[in-house]
Amino acid sequence: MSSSLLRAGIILIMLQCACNRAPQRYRPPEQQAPRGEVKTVPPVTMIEMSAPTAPAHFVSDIDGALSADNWRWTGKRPTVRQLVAERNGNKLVADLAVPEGAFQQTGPVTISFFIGDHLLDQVRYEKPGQKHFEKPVPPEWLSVHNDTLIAAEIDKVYVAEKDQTRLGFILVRIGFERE
Amino acid sequence: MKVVFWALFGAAFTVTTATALGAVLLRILALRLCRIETWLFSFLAGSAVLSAILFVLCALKLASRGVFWAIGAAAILAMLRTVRQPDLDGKHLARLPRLWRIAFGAAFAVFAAWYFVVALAPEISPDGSNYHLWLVGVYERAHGFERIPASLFANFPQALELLFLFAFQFGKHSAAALVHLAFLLALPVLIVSYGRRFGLVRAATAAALFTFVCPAVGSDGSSAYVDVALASITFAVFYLLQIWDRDRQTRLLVPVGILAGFSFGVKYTGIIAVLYALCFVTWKLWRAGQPIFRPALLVTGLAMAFVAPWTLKNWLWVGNPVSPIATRWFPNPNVHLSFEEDLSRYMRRLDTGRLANLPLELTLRGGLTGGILGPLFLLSPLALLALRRREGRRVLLAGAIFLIPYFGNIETRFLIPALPFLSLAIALAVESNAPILLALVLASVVTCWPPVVSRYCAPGLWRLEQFPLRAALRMIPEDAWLAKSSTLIAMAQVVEKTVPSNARVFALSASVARAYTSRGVVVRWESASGETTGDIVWAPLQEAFRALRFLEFHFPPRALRKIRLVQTAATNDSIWSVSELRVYAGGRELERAPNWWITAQPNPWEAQLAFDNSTITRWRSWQAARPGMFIEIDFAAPTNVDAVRVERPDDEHDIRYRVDGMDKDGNWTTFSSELAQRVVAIDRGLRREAMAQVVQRGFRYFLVAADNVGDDDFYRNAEFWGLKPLVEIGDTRLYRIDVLE
Repeated sequence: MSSSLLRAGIILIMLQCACNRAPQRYRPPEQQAPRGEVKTVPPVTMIEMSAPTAPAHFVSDIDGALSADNWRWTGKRPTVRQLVAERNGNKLVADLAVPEGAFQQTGPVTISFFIGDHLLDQVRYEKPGQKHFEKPVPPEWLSVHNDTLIAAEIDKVYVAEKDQTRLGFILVRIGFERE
Repeated sequence: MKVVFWALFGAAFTVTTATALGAVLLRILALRLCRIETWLFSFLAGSAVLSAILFVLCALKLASRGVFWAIGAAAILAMLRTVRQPDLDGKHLARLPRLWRIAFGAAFAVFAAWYFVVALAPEISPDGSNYHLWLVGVYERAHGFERIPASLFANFPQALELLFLFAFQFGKHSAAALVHLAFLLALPVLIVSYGRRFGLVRAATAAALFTFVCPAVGSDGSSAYVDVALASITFAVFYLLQIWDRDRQTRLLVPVGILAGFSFGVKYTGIIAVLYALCFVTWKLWRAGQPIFRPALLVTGLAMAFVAPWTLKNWLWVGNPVSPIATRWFPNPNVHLSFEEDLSRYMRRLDTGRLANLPLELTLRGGLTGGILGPLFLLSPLALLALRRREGRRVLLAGAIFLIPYFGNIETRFLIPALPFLSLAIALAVESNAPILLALVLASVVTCWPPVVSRYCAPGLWRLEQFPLRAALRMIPEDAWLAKSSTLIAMAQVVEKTVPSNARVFALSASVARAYTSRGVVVRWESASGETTGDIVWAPLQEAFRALRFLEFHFPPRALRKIRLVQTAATNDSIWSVSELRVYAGGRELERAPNWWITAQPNPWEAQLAFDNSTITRWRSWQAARPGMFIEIDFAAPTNVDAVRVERPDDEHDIRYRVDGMDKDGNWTTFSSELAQRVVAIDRGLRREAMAQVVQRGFRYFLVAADNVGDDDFYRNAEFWGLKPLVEIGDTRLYRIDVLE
């Protein structure tokens, strides 16, 4: 029996020697496209409050509930995060509204727009109603690797009489557009 | 009810075929055993034989239902045609006292009924639905083994999974779980039988119940796992060796060797049974002054016959006979050494913190160790009292030996093979006081009753919670019940419907129950290629990829046949990486010629990643950097070179380099360790490039769970990645990679 086992062992070893092992050296692979030539469709960098993915961009001070299918209440300093595909040629765009009811309590308001820690602009709104803001963003304030924080801070908040909630303004969309 | 019938039939047919094969084997060997022993050992040894037959069929791609019918029929016919040995008479097995018979019968029946219903219900166990039955499903569709280098689970020995495959052909997932249940039901009978033969009736009966009602044993044994089967097999090895020790029938060593080898086939840790059997036989023969060589060779040879197929399969297919362990000795392209070291470090401690926490974790809480043994095992120190008796020393020694593999992985289920011995030792310690022993049995039964367990175990612990009778009888639609029971299974169902049959899914973690989809799902951590793909996916999120560090070596022009970048620092845990290695002559980069050869040491299999002109991919050593590691270019002919540039992410600070060159005569010279460094910012996003690489690696779908790094970024910036969110189930999202559109 021991000789049979010995024979079986030898055959086993021979079989193992016969198999092809993975080669340990290789030819150079196909070269990838030179940098910057990867074809891309420019991604959308505007955060529509009605978009299902919008809450994923919220950092703070934006109501979780969507009103009238396209806007949300903000607090004092709504902040979102957004990535850009390129640092050059971007402008910050926001569509918002200062509601009549709130305006009656606060009077004229000033909204300061921030990119990260940088103040981009301050706008004073003397009348209630729909507002549109846009302004080019210096490229050095943006990163193609990390999300950029965008904030819009209102100087005076409206305190709702019903539940004492402190509200800022109505936000429809905010984000970057190409110049 | 048709599903129920086929599940029951599949399991019954498997167990019957195995038992028939085992009976034929035992009859050929003319072993003299008591009737109950004959049936138990026939089932267990026959399972080993059936599994070995199935291995051959799977290797030949002949594993089909028709062939299984033929094997079953032939085995049963052979059993009917072989001459049955007369059983040993009843005096060899002591009778159970009436009280103990009632206690055992009642507890066994009640728990067995619960286990049976769980096993018959659609399979939802974590490992069963993730990989045990995933592989079975793959083999079923392919009629045999498939090479799956992208999952380490495919390289574990699968002797029991092959029995699952036999049952699965007829009754799918539940049939496989029922086969494991058969091993669970056999275990207490085996323990009691051992006690009856060796005069430990009450202790063995109590021990059988301690083991059988143990929550970890119940949930494992009623699912498509393997641990309880391993416990049954190893206990059978012990039992047979005790009989051999008493009456020295040499032929008993045949099932001993077969079952010891089968233990390894069921789980790597089962190798301990081979060592135990060999040491036991050698020791006993040496003490008796009898020849050792032939009996030892018989045990070893037979065991190896059941071990070798699995190691050979791994050797041929993944370059490591014991993949995924021992990677340092068997370097291969499928498992990174760093992964093996990290995993084994983790398995030895899990998240249990101080080891002093372990007793409570293992017996009462279980949240960190994945299961509980029940409060009775807090009395484990009592087992030491069994040392007073010879029988006690015997079981404690065996238990200590079968406990050894546990220290490599401290999950509760890794204790199961040692549990029968520990139970026996506890019972032996108090056997002389029957009321106390009976009280312990009662306490054990009560505290291990599933609804009672829920009162003290950690929340979320995988255990038997429900009594799923309606699901077991398929009075609830199976798919709906599965989806409700497990989000991983629900995701698998979605993957099956959403992903085309020829597309592959890359998952950052095991967030899908692969046993319920035929689609190819590769989980990141389960293979070297998965880890490398994950490294690519995560690169855009890492600070180190905001810039590349360029390291340039300049030297007088030389005609070189080969050039090597050699790493010279000894580090503890820094992994060396190179994004690109470029060579220059006269200020111009040499174009990478098709006749070059490139290699690296270690990890030559991924050397191409340092030569593909992609920022996002990199060759990595995937082990701590050591002096002498290198990347090499063979120019095939002497080539003028005067500079080398290494490009790498800016995250390695203790790596040191030199450049060696080989001239046309084959002489190596170090000619540069001086370098100039500069950091070059990457001024473009890398997300879409990363996904383009994922597509190149064969994936069109991407699965991300909420606890995966980058989960929120993938979702929020899906367009930047080139991802389209398709479905969200639980905390997991399935994306289609649209990067090329």
